[in-house]
Amino acid sequence: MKTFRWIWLALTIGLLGYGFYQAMYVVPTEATMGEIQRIFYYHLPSWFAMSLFFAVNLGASITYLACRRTNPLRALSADALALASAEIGVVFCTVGLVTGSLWARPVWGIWWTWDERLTSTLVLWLIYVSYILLRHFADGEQMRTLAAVLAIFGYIDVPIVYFSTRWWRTQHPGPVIGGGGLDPSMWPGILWNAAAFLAWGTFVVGLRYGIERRRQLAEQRASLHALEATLELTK
Amino acid sequence: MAHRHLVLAYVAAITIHLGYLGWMGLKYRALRRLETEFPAYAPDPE
Repeated sequence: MKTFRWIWLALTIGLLGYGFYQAMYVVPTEATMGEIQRIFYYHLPSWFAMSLFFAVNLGASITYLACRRTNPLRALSADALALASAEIGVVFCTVGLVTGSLWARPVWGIWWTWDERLTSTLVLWLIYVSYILLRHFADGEQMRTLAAVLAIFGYIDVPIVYFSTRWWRTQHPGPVIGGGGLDPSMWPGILWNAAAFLAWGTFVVGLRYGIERRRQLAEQRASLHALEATLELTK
Repeated sequence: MAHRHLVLAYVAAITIHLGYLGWMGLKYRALRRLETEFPAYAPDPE
């Protein structure tokens, strides 16, 4: 397992390096915006990765709710995966928001605007940050159930973010995927970076999942220890 | 300004990811402390 992890990390670093090379040196400079448009090759793949990991979080949350009575071990594994994927999703969402803002300033002349795309994305970020805070400050089965329900409701905002530029007139440009209008020479920069970000995210989720599973087991031992101590006292 | 913002965006992206790794490191340290306090049960020697 450890060997596989190292191989995966090496592959990820290679992909990140190649993605950077594509975005900086291979893809031609955009005609109207110039060099600043290269932020796009990190901005868009961050949203790809975020959407994917929030979808994993949704799937794991549903699995938790479905299995918590019938198969508690599987439910706990799903819960650990839900937490790990939500955290990396928030990281990618933060990167998307920050890079978007840094791109907007020289291109639009503003750091931020309350248009539907940006606002719905900020709401999405707040939902998942509150999910993480809930998990950080509470514990036990009730918290896990509540977090899973919050994750399911929270995911409703993901398609809203995607379709916001179609449903409303926004400052933000229309969708790239399914929207057309992107020069084919730009795709290598997007796809290589998307692959690199997904590989990196998967690696980090693997690490975080391992930590959370071990924490769950240690918590169970701690509960058992407390129970044994109580039984000793009542003897 | 464009170049500065491009560099800033990359630096910010890397910093956010490294910050998360650091936070995960803190979680791992807390886990190690918990595991030291409540170690896994060793199987009974036959």
